[in-house]
This record gives sequence, C-alpha cells and structure tokens, in this order.
Amino acid sequence: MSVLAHERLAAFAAQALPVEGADDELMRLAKSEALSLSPADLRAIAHRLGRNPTRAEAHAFAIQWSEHCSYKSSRALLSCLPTRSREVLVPVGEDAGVLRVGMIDGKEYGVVIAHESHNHPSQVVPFEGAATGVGGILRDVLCMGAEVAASADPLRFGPPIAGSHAAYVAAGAVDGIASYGNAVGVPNIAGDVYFHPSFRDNCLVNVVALGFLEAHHIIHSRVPDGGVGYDLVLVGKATDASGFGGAAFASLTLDAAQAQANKSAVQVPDPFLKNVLMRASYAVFAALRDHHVQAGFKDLGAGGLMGSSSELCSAGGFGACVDIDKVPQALAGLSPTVIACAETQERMLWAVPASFTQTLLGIYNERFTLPDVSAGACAAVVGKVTSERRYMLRSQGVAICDVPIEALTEPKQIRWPMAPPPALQSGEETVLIPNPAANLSKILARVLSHPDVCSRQPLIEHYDSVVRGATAIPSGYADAGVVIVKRGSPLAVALSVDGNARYGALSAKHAAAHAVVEAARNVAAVGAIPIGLTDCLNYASPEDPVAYRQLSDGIEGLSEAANALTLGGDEPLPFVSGNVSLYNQSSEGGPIVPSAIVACIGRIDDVRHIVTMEFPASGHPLYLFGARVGGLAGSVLASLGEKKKYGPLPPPDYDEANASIQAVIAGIRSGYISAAHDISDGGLLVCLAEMCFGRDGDGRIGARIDALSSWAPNADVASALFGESGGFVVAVEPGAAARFEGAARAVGAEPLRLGVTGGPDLELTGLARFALDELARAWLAPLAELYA
Amino acid sequence: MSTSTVAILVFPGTNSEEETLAACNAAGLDARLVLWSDPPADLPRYDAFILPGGFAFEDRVRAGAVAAKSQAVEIVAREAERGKLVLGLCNGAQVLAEAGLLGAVAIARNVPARHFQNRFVDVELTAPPQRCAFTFQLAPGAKIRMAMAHAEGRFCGDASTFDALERAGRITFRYAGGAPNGAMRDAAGVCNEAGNVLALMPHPERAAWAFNLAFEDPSLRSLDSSTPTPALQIFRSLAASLTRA
Repeated sequence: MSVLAHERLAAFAAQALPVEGADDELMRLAKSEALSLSPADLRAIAHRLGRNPTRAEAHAFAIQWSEHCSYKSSRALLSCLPTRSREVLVPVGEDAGVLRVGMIDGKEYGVVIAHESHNHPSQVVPFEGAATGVGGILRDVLCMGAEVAASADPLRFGPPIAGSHAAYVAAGAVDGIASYGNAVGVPNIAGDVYFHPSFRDNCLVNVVALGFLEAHHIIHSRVPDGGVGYDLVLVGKATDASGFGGAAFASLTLDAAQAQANKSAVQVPDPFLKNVLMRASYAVFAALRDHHVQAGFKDLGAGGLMGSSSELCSAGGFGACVDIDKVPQALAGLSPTVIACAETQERMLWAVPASFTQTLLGIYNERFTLPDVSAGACAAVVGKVTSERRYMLRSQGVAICDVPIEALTEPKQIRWPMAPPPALQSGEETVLIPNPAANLSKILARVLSHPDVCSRQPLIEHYDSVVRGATAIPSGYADAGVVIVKRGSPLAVALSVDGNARYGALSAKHAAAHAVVEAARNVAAVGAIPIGLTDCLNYASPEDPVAYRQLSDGIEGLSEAANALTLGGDEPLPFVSGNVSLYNQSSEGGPIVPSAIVACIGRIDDVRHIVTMEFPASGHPLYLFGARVGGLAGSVLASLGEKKKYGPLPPPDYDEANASIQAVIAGIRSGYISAAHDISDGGLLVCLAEMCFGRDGDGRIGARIDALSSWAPNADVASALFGESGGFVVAVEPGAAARFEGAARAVGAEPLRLGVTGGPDLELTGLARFALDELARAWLAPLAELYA
Repeated sequence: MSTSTVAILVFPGTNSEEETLAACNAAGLDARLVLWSDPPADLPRYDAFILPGGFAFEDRVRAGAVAAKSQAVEIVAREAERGKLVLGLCNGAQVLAEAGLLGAVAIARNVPARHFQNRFVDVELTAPPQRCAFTFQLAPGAKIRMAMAHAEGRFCGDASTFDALERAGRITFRYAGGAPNGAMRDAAGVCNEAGNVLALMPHPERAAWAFNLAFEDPSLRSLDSSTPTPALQIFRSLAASLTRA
C-alpha cells in the first residue's frame, strides 16, 4: 500500500455524509453506506454534532447506538432490577460484576461474574459463533483483574431431529464451546439445554463466566482518576475485518437469505492465543501491583477498538485520541473505519500511565512472545487519554472522527409502543393421558426420554470440567457446579443457570420469576448460599409491541423474584451483571419464546459441606420440600399431551422458596442432608430417578416412596408425580432425621416425609415399581447420537 | 525435603501448569514454571522435568507434534537419556510419544468416541512399583482416581510392541474396567525401558486433593479439603526418586 492509497482511504473515511432530505433519501443513504441507522437516528446524529457526520462517525454511531451496545430499548425497563446489596463490590455497569465471597488469610476475595449471549452468530456459524461467545465472556471477567475460574452455558435449540439444521446447530455450538473452553483451560461447570420449536431458526447460546480476585485488586472498566495522558495500549490479535458490523448484526432479524452475507459479521475464535493472553495478563496484574500503578482495562467486543476506547475513557470522565495507523493490522488495505470498528476477537485495551507502558509491552511481546504465538499479535500503543471529553480517531494526520464522547456512549433511550398485558390463559387443563396411574411406566419412560429431561452426559463429556484442578463438583453431578476460590482454602463458589423455555411460552413474567427462584434453588441444592444473580434477557424485536411487553414483563418477573428472595435476611438477591439480546426472531421461524435466562452465584464457606444429587447409601430417609400443588402447566408431561392448551402458569411461591432454600442449606451445612436435588423438568418422579442414577446413569440405589396419600393427599397422581412446581427432594443421614426436621421447621420450612432410599428399584407404594436399569436406558439414550 | 529442582515446561497452549505446580509443591518438590521464552540452555540445570497438560502449540499437525520438535524438548530428551526423570501428563504424554521417548508407541484419537472425553477414571498400577521412578511410593496394584480429559489419548502400536511392553513391565498404569478411549491393553500410562520417563494420559494433578473427589466419595468430606489423595503419590514418588538419586 502506498502512502497515497492510505491517504485516500483516510480522506474517504473523513468525508461528510449528506444527512439531508426526506426519509426515503436517508434510508437510501443508510443502505448505500451499509449503516444500521434509521432516518431519525441520522438526523439525531447531525443534530448532536451540529453538522453532517463523517463516514467514520456515522459507522461509530451506528454501532454505539445499536441495541446491542446501547440497551436503548431496555435500559429504562432494567432500572427496576435490584442491583445492590452488602455483598456487591462492583455493580452492573462494567465489563463484569463483582461480589464479595469471603476472607482468605485475612484478605477479602471477590467473585467476578459476567453473562452474555452469542445467539445470532451461533445460528449462522454454530462452531465459531459459540466459540467466540465463550471467548468474549472470558475477556469480560479477565478485564476486571481476575483469574478466570469457570464457565457455564445455557443453550436453547430447536428440536434435535436427526439430520435437521437444528441438530447441526445443536452439535456445532457444543463443539465450539468445548473446543474453545478446553483449549483455553477454563472448566465448564454448569449449564442447561432446552429444545423448543421457536429456537429452530434462532438458537440461544448464552455464556456465563466467573473468576476470582482479591477485592482490592479489582481493575475497573474505566480510566482511573488522574488518567490524562495515559497510554491506550491495544493487546491481542492483529486487527482484520472480521466481525465488522457484528453489533448491528446482533440487532437485526435473522433471515436465511442473508445468513450467508451475515457470516462475515461473525468473528474468528483463537483459543490458543487467548490462553497465552490470559496468562500474560495475569503477569501484568502482578506487575501493576508491584509498581503500585492504577490502570483501566476493557475487553474489545461490540464496536471493536472504537467501542472499547470510547467507553473506557468516557466512563472515567475523559476523552480519547486514537491513531488508527498505529493499530497492528492483519492485512493491508483495510479502511480506517473498519480498523476502528471491526470486532476481531482476542483483543483488549489497557489505559496505563506512560511510565508503565514499557513494562506492559515487555510482558506481552517479549515474555509471552505474542508475535510468535499468532501472526501479527502484539501489544501496541494506539492512543492517549485526553482531558477534553471528545472522541477522536486520526488516520494519516486527518481527523476522521471528532465528536463529543458522550454523544457516542450515551444515546437517547427509546420506549417502544407496548401491547397491553396478555390475558390470563384459560384455566382449562386437559386430561393429558388417560388413567395415568395404570400407565405410569409408559409415561415415565416418555418423560425421561424427553429432550428437556434426558441425560446431558453425552454433551457434558465434551467439556473439560476439571482443568485448573480447582473443581469440587464438575458439571452434571448436581444442580450446580462448584469451584474453590483459592488453593488451600475451603472457600468455594457454586454456579447454576436456569430459564424454563416451556414456561416462557406461557408467561414471560412468571417464567422469569421462576428462573430466578430455580437458579437460587440450584445452588442451595449443593449447600451454597445464593449471593447474586446475572441475567441474559433473550427476546424478539422490541419494535413488536407484544415482544416489548414480554421484555417488560420478564424484567418485572426478575425484579419481583429477586426482591422476594431475601432468604431470611433484609436484602434482595442483587443482579450484578447481565445482557439484553433482542431481535431473536427469524423470517421463517418467527419470534422465540420469551427467554429470561438467569445464573446464580452461591457461596460455600467450607467445601466439605457439599452434596450432589446421587443417593450415597441405602436407608436414608427422603423428604420433600414444596407441596405438589402447582398443577401441570408448563410441564413436560403437559407437552406430551395431545391437546396443547395448558392452564395458567402460577407464579413461584416465594415464602416456600425462602424457607426451603434456607432449610436445605442449613441441612447440608449441618451434615444432615446426604443428597439433594431440586424439582424441575419432569417433576418429582424424574427428580427421584435422577437421584438414583447419578450423572452417568450408573447409580443403582433405589428408593421406596410412601403412598401418595401421606405426602400429597390433595393432588391427583399426574400432578403429584409430574407437576413441576418448585421444590426439593433431599435424602437425610439415618439418625439425623429428627434434627433435620427440627432445623427445617425452625426456618419456616415444611419437610414432608417421602420415603427412604434403598433397594434395586424406584418403588411407589401402592402404585408401581420401576427397574432402574430400564429407566436409565430411557434417560441416557436420546442425546447420545447427537453428541456421539 | 528434596533440594532438587523440577522444571515444569510451559508452551504456548499449555493449560495445566498451575495445578501441576501445586501438586509438586505439596510433594515437597522445588518446582518452577519454565516458559517457552526462557532460555532453553538453562534447562540442564534442573534435575527433573514435567510436561503438563494442555494444547501445546495448538496441537497443530497432531497432539504434541510441534512441541516435540522444540529445542526445549530436545534438551529434555537428551537429559532423559542421561537418566533424569521426565513425567508427561496428558498433552505432556503426547509430546513424549511424538518425541520418540516411548519407542514405537503412539497416542491416537479416542475410539469409539473420537471426541474430547472428560470423566473420572480409576487407574491401576499394573507394573511393580519399583519399575518406574514415579510409582515406587505406591502399593503394588494400587488403584488411583484421576481425571481423564482428552480427545487423543489412545495408546497404540503393533501387537508385538505391546507384548514387549507388557513383558518389560512398561505398561505402568491401566484403566480399571477397560479403557474409555480404546487404548491398547487398556494402557493409561507407559514408561520407557529405563523407567525414568513416564507418559500418563489421565491427570493425577486434578484429583490430588480431597475436595477434588469428595463430590462422589462422601467419606472424603470428613477430611480437611486440602488433604492429599493417592494421586499425589506420583509426585511424592518423583520427590523420593530424586532424594534417593
């Protein structure tokens, strides 16, 4: 490339676009410039600048004002979520949230958690889309100054019919997650999978990651005080054109015809480079402490260098000047606009005092030899933090972008027209399967082999759940995964995810509320105290009044549940991180069912006090928390019925949840409880079967359940055994039953005696007896082929 | 306490160095992480070498193939010939095989799964404890719980090669109840003729503490969570071998 050619590219980027004329002219302009900006957006930009935007500026605004970056449709709605508690060290607003987790050797430790989606990319190119989703979330946690410790993946796919595109997506996404996470060396300890027709053409791939740090070592996603003149140092892969327009892509409806074109908006994962970048960054964290230097650190995600540098500087109250020509580039001839905005993976941005810059460059470029690890990868100074609050991009000495920094990072919020609240669905409940008592064996086999219920082991085995050697409960053995915080200390953290797709189809609000309660139940079931939540709100277009109502209702449900779950204290469970993913719909498949997916973090003070779901021995009394009163709405059994009309989905019973969660945690901590499992997909009978099986389906300690009349006197057989209202089943150490019951009642919970573990079968007194071998076969088989 | 030092080699893509270091420290070893950017010429100063798990050099070409050609591994191979101890864990085992330290033994893709498999396995010491430097603190026939986490861990070769390995007591460890990855003769760990080099596919360092295994063995929950498990004996054997030497 000649100097002249570079100058031409810069001049092209600096050219003002004519924001003039009627809507149709502006729409033509946006189309010809490939800008996702409405005529109103274009006029608003020109108005805020007092002039026509340059080409580079227009692209910067298109990205920063996209739904993906700006949360413009959801921000006002989200303000009702509880985000603070005594445990919150860093609330929502930075790359990731931080919760206090406990003291080790007199030092306070925090758990960093982030939650994202990579839905559209995963639908278009499942392997790369899902892999880059993992990559992005790990950077969010890393950039808070933490050592990345674990990840989890909530997944939603279309029915996995052999040979279908949905099956291809379901297999490819898991492959991508595994190949990335395994190589990077971050254990995958939790996750869930639902299959529903509405995800056939728009899958959901959510990713959660957590990390640990000493509380006073937190690095913020902003330039620190006194940061004027700090160097902006770009670290990682050489910039290419990949992912250009990715944020805008995330804010569009998926269209099969355009899927091919959209593939260029998906980034290319490089877990190998990320592995090295993570380790080099840990070395930088140590050097910052040695030098007593404050720094800002931010992931490059949506909007690439432009998005990250503008937000990092704006959040600190500063401006930025970035020299595009200094950005390491993977290929010649990239336009400055593409260099600024491309979403090339595996990059991060530091703001450090110039006195530290050489140390920083030395660690990445020499000690960890980034240029040898990946062609063109390095750390390079690309700009400066300025006192004037403007965002400036320069190329060939020309200012291609020079705007007030807040104009970019603080777009106006939007309230779309909202449909009225949905009418309560009729209370009609069909008799789904005639005479369930006589057909129990057949019904149970069908429920156990349902895609939402069957064993996840064939999928989970692809993930490395124990790398780092800090895993205390790997994926699949319990309702939550557990990792220790630091070697030598008994302090540990549990992680779970939840969000029932069948519930989403019935009620956006109650589904979201149930997701919170269930995620909290999940961590309690291993003995952890829930301390915080994250959410990923996956919905269709906010421009559709019905979908916008669903988003609003979902947030209301989250808020209601998080405020209600005080667990005997005086504070809500705070949301510390989250993500909103809208426009989850496709031209063919229509909108997805409302999908608020929630992750819960729990604290375990002593990792010896954990249990899994598997019965450890015979002769352990079994108890039920949560009377079987919720009916069958949204249940797997109902979805198997011939008529698809369900009764209304009841909201969670918060009083019961608060009491039973406390009782289960206390029972595990005291050593009374020997196994615990929450009741969810498939209902009580599935819960019991899974406690017999264990993760791999090879457990062979059965159980004898008392006559229904003793523990569900008012429920019909189907509701008692297959209803999915929240609750727990716990096994209790023989001899501890009285103490367990007393402790549970002391916190207001009502343990119902259910039966006892033992024998080779799962036996329902007076009803049926199931051979575990047969049940396990039905449960193990369905996903085995998909993930073979 | 041993005054000998152990180098844990870190390549770009290695991901198990920290847990390996922790296991070494707990066994009383003075172990150091040696990065790929550190001068390889310093390596002969170390008394033993561990090649940890991960995906060295992205497992380009084949698992372990590129690392096996590195100057660092050439030096390690030379030191091994002189009798120094070398332990390869998972990816490290693949590197040793690629570097030819196991003779005509290859490590190939898992069958029938043909994909990454992560599960806990019991491996059984099937050679006399004294046969290999990394087992001599173990009881004969000891069964040790470890974490299997690999896509390419199937020890394989000619039947005659494996007959010879068996006769020579070089199949150090076998998967109890059969190899989940299709390894010939259920081999999980193979040592060299001299017994100073061991290639072990499952990870002892990820199952080295009570808290790693307590989720499936409630009896471990009564112990301090940092109590070592039998898997640590492999590192203790290394320490004892160094002291004895």
